[in-house]
Amino acid sequence: MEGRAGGQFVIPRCSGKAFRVLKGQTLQVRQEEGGQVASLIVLNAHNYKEQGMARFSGNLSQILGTGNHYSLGTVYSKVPYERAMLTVTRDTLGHHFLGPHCTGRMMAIWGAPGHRSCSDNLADALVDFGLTLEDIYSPASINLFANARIELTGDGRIRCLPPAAQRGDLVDFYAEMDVLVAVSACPDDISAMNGHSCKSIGLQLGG
Amino acid sequence: MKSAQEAGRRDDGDWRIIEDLVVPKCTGKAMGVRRGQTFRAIAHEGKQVLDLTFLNAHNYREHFSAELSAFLNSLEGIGGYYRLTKLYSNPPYENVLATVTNDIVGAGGRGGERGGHYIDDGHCTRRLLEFMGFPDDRTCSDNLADAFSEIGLRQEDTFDCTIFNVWMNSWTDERGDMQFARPLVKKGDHIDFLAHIDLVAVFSVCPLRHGPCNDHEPKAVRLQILEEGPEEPGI
Repeated sequence: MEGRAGGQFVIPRCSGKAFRVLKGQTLQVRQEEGGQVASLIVLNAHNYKEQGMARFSGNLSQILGTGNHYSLGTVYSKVPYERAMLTVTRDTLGHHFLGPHCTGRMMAIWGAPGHRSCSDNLADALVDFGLTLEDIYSPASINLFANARIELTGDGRIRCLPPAAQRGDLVDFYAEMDVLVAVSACPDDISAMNGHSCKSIGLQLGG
Repeated sequence: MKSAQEAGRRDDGDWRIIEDLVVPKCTGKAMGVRRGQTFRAIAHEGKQVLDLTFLNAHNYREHFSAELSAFLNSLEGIGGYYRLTKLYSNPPYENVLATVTNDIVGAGGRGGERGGHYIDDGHCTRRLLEFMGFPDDRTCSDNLADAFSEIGLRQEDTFDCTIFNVWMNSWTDERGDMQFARPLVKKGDHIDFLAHIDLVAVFSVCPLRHGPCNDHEPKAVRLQILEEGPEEPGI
């Protein structure tokens, strides 16, 4: 799944997929059934050491007035690169969570050790590109459609709320460079993140 | 930096001081912390942010993961984005690298509505300062590049953006915007990190002079490596 041809694809529930998006192409991430989080990580397709930053991209976007920790503007890569990788051109929901995806330790704390997590989905997806989780610098990802909030006071704890996204909600990205994107259809049915029911995610490559 | 013998004296607690170092303002540094030792940061000159991360001393691919730690501490009821108890490493490891054992600011001893720190995949960078209109200012990126070079790492080879922003009094507001206020910490306050494995602490004494982050004036920070127990004979 790459190249100029484009096309529509579905990531089945509780699985992941990685694919290249070339500079100038568009990527649409779409709710197939509603109420489902899609966790994205982004890498330079020609230099996997240049990886997207999730939350810090929110900080940079905030200065430009195009986004913040809950609404995405542009995805920038880590230092020392700090280049624009993807830019949001359409967002029907407007609320996401730039922060960690679910992991094995998270599942264990929730009382479900061994339960599938986004770490597993992303690891599976990256295998085809010769990458392992150890090659990914941070589990902070672009958690599209996630309705998580950080408490304003106290310790700053995270509250996972049921997703507000409905079938047909979508985010369109424009690729500012050739990128490798890995997407996890989040397999968390423990917390409220996916409404306790995991579903598929739709993708469309254009341009 | 003092040697163990030169610095081998006790402070007000039951500690042996193994290293004792005042890190100048606007600089970065790396320090080894062995399993069982305590890494102490002291607000030597007052309200100043320390951008801190840790790496497994024997495998640099395992490093502190800031936001994962915020999430896991949140689930365990022992912290969040504004305070941490356990510092976890990145997947696939997800080990506890260190625990915070003494934190007067995080414990609420200096007032404020929240933990008084900021746990974030971010620090001040060249792009951030460029967007703010100060493209020539020194940043934590510069300091951390210097610090990582001490252990042979380039910024391309690691993720220096996963940071425990010690004493950074920031938060995410209802809308999702990052907000800033003067640090709550007072001159002489400290925070202690107990190492669970052999670690390298890598840090930047934040050089940001704009805004309330460092109370508009960067300052030095004092760092110590401590061991618990009685004073050794001859020291």
